[in-house]
Amino acid sequence: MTDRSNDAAPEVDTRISVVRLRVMRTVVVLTLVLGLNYIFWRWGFSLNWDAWWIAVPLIVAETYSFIDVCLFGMMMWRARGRPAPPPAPAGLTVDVFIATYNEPVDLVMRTATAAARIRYPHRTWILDDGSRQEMRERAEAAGIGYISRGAEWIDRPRHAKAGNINNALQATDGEFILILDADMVPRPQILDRTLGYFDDPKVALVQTPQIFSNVATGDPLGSQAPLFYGPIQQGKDGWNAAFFCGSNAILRRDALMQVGLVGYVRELDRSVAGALRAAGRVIRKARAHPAAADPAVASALEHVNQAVDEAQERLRERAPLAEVTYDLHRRVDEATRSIVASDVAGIESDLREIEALAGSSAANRSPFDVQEAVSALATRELSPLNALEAVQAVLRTIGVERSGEAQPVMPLATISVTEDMATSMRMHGMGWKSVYHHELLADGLAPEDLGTMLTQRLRWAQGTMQVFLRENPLVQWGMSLPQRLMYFSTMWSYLSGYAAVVYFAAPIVFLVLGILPVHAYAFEFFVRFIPFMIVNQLLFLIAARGASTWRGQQYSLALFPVWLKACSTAFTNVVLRIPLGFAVTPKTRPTTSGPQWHLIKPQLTVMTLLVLAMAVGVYRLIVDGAEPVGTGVNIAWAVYDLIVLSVLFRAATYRGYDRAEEEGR
Amino acid sequence: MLAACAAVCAIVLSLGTSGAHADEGETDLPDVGAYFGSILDWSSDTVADQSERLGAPSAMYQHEAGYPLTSADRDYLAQFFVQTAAAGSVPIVALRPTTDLAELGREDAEDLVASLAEIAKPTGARFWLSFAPGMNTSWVAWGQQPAEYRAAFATVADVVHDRLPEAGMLWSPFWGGDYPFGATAGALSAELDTNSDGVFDGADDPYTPYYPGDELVDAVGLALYQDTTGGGEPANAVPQTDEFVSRLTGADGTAPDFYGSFVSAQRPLIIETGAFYSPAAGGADELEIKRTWWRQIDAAVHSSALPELKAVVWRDTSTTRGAVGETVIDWSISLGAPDVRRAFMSDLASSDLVLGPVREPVASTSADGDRAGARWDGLGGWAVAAGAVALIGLLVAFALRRRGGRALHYEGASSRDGRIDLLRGLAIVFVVINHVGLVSLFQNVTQEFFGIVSGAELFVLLSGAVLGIVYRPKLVSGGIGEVVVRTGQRAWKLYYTALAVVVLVFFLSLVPFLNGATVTTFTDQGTGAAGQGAAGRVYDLYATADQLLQYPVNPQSVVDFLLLRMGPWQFNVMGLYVVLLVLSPLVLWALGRRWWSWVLGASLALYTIGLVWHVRLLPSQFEDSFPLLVWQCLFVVGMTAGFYRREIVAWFATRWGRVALCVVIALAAALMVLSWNNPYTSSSLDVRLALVPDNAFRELYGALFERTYLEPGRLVNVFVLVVALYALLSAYWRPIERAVGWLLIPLGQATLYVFIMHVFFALIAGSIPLLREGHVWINTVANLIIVLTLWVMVKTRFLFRLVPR
Repeated sequence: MTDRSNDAAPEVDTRISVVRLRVMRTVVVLTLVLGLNYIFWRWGFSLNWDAWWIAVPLIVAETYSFIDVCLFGMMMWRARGRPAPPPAPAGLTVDVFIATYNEPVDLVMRTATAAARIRYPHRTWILDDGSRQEMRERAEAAGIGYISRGAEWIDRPRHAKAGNINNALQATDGEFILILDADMVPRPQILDRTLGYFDDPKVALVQTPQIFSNVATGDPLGSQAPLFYGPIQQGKDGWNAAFFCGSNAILRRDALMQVGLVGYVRELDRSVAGALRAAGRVIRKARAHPAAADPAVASALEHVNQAVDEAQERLRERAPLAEVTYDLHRRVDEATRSIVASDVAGIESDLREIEALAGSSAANRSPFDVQEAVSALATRELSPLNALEAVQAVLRTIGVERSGEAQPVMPLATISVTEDMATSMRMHGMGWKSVYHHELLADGLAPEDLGTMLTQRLRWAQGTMQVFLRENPLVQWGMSLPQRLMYFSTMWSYLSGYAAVVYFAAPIVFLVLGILPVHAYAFEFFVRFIPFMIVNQLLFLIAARGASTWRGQQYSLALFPVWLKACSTAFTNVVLRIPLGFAVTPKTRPTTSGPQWHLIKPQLTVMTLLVLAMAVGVYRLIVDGAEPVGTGVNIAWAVYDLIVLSVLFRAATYRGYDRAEEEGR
Repeated sequence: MLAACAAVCAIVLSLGTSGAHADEGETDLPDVGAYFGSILDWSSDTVADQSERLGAPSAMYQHEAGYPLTSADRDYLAQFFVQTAAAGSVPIVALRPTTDLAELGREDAEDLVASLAEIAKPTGARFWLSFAPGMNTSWVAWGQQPAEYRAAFATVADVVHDRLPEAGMLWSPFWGGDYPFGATAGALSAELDTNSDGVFDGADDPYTPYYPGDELVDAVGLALYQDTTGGGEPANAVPQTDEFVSRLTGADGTAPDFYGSFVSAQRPLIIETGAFYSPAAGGADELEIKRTWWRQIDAAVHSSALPELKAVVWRDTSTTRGAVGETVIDWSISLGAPDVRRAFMSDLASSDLVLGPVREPVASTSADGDRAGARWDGLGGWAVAAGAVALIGLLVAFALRRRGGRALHYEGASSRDGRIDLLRGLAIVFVVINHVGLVSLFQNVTQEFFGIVSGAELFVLLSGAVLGIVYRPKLVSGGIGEVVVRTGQRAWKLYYTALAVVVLVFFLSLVPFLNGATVTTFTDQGTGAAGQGAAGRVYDLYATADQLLQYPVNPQSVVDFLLLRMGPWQFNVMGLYVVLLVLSPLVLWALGRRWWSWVLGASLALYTIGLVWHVRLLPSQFEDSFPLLVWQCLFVVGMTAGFYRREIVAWFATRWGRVALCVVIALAAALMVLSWNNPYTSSSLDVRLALVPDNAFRELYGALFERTYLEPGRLVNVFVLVVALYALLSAYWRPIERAVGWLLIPLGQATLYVFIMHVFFALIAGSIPLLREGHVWINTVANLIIVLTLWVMVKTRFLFRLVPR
């Protein structure tokens, strides 16, 4: 990072000069023009359709990368460095939250005591999701607030860190909240340097960078993200789309509560509407039942049917939910009483089934799965009375109190394991502003082993893809188009795993089988590709302002199995409702040491294949008369892939951060 | 699979050793007119059956034998000579070299002649020896190697002329109109390029380079089929006017004048023929095609223009059995539509074509060579059938009456149904034995013994059942999502396993001492005529795989590979499983909503569509042997049955359920006894009944029990058999489990593993020369060793980490 500044610096001005911006914009335009030229030529004139199975994936992957570059260019177009913020106004109330689950008590206390030392008046809270007695005692001894989950969370979805913070929001009342992970030691000036931004009443979030102090020279695990906590967040900030990254951020309580309330109302709306639709289906089915021939029964069903229709109508007119559901309840009750149960014994078993279904949906599922319970009921052959019972059971479960959740209002989004991004997206959707403040104000601890690092990356990627699938930013109409694209670009970048597979496969396919996906003369290819490649790299170089982005580039390719897994598990989670197998990132080193080859088996396989392919390629060149230029390019390509992947050798053998050794350097 | 992978077989009749020798002076070809001869599907047809159909035996019969002869070949030839002798017909033995022509030396010829002398002399017949017919074609292993062919012919002819005066040497190329039959000038030999234009093409002489010389040849043959397809898309077409004669004499210019160049009074002509008719293809009517063709032949015989046309051998085989990668073709004259047969018989009455007997029939007398009891008919047969039925009846009665004592009943952990595992073990053992393809005693049981059902059907049905059993609780607890993920993962695993096996086998088949042909080719032996009319045609199952070795690789062959369009035939059912597994969540989801009636209805509807229209959905290889639309039915029914296993079992315990169960068992028993009447015997030691006339059985089998398209009879048989076996296991679990459970249950629990491994055993077994000789006892021991080895491998979890289960 350029500014691992000492905290003595009174003011930090990170504004970007006009000249720099102009140069950047010129390169962006060049990249776009040359890129379009290349991509159009590739699609239109150079596809080897005979080998469509590799040619089409390759051009799709190239197009993917080109769109990625376009989004990056858009980000850089309005890169925004902020001038020093106004001083923090006195008298604001601030709660500092330190979220912990199972991190060592000492680690948490180190952060907590540092938080307590923050200069601006505030209250410090440890949010202990692990409800550890020792933690509580230590916190109380140090005079630090301690919050753990209450009884209302028992047997209800816990929503991990989002649930932990939501719980704490109920127990506190500060106007502003500083959220810290247990391993992020804040500097005393953190609030003084950031609260000033909230002078603007529309600002809901100030995010500061996450920089780690325990990273060995060369950053073998790619922990630091100089491109992200720098040009990327600044670029997003230019479009008012800098987003919340879970820690080292100050949030406005009002904004959070608004997000929670609106979310609550929306989801309830959706759930009630769905339940009413299902109830309509149940009734229609019951009317076909032989028992419905009885005039009394028929009229009762008709009555309920009308009631359901009217309820739907009133909902469309935005009548108060509670009123609508209460009236419906009442009318269905009446109808039920009006029918004399003619076949009590036959009904008993059906009733039990209904109870079981309705009961299980209330206890284990979110209430928004009610439709599912009802559609399950709707497939059964229910007698009219039982159908009415079923409707009643459904209506009971959609009472406005949201019985399936510990708290009806969830300020931090719970749709994803990366609650931070989802929350800031909702805030932006409601017109709030965010700020990226580019100054080191907390010293973090990064994972020190490959396994933890991979788990953490997987979680981020999974969470991002969950948000993408649940609340696709492109259709969040509350945000401006650039904001939507800024969120989209982050999600887009996590699809790189698929492109990576193709980028590894293409040289192997050529070197081994002699099949070239590109159907063109070498010159025609190079004359289009090389200029594009050069400006592309130039763009990164200028954007990064001299910071090394190489490690990041390596990891974005080398971790392709993680991205693939994230995409598939997020898909199965959102669409097929399968748990993610979500694991909390451990913050200490695991006891097992030694190289962790087992974690990177897919990459080792790819490396082996690349090396073999190169050997075969040389054989083909000498024995089978393979085309020299093609062989050369593809061997170079394979070598590049190998160099990129080689980062994992150091990562797998990395023994953790050794302070003494680092200081001896 | 079962029927298709059978080795060349013939019906075991009594093997006579005595009998009157034919008069030395008797000629074996007629002075006037021409003999009408036949090639039969010797695996299921007999001379006696054909004479029943035609009213008289053919005058000649042709049978194939591998060269050098294996002991199985000797067995079959002996039976063949007995049959022809009994009918008074002239035998033709077509020798198909099984090794390189260049490797065949004088010792091989001497061995052959010694064997033939031993076999043929007792039956007193003069006979014809057709050496390596179709040598000018591209689809036989000995094809288009003129110098090697002539040398090999000469070697055999010298020894035959020297020591076997009864035999005449027949030289029989294939009609050269399509020469060189798609072969390219890969290795152009100057000899093939007869017009010396530097190209090996249709302009070169298709016959002369292969002609061994007048002094060696006693008669010339020509395979001249009515087939306008040229090996391409099937099309039914009526022969053009005078097509037969003009093709034979070269009058139409498509081929040189064969008759004029090679036929003479010293070397008369024997035509091999048949008429192409594919029921699935459109075009002309069967009767019209075939009648036009035989009338052209008859006219040619009748006319004085072709005086030396002395015999016409018709390929009288009906090939409604599927052949891998080929269209079904019916060349026959007496097996297909009855109107064709009747028309032929009525034409024959006034024709110059001569039926048998053409020499004194030699009745076989049971003697020391008699393999007593191979086909039991009459009282003995009925006694066996009655005994079997009585035994089953007793078992049922005992099971029904014994209320309190449940000592023998099934008791097992509820989590895993041991009965299903045992049945799967049984199915996989059947599959292994049939796929390894050794002629052995095991085949007596594995080849359609329990009913007209082979291991594959049981296997598919039971796999479906297991899926239904396993996924019902998952569907309830985890929802359809979990089911989709799990079946998807399983399908993916099967798919890449299949790809890996295909590659592995391909490379193993290139190893010199391994006989890859066992697994990389499929020899359509039992089913006879297909393709260009070459019986025993070999299908290269890795046809495009060779392109994977070229440089650069043809991109299309990669697609073929990924679509599983190549691979060992033993393994192709894997593709079916992949597809079925991918589709299974849909079925399970519907079953979870209790839509079982819709599921079964849809499945049966698809089955019917597949059965009637023979729809092919995918290009993959498995569609040849296991058409998806038809075979899904077994899987889906299995899945439904597994899903509702408890309910179904409970229902069978009710009053009406018991009645139904008894009916099912009775049906299963009846079908089992019926299947024992199959004239097809797997080896000379196979024992079958002969209570149903062979023709009647064949007709019934063809109409209701054909395997590839799972005709209704077979489908019903699979269902009733599985229910009956399940009931048997439920009632008599203890003794059966004690007897065979130790072997079958572990195998049944690791079927995928066993299925993968068995391909390699098939490869190994095919590479051991001793096992290819066809000694029944040795092969039986080999089969036993293979099954036990697989069992030990499962027990010791050999390579379990690498090979999926």
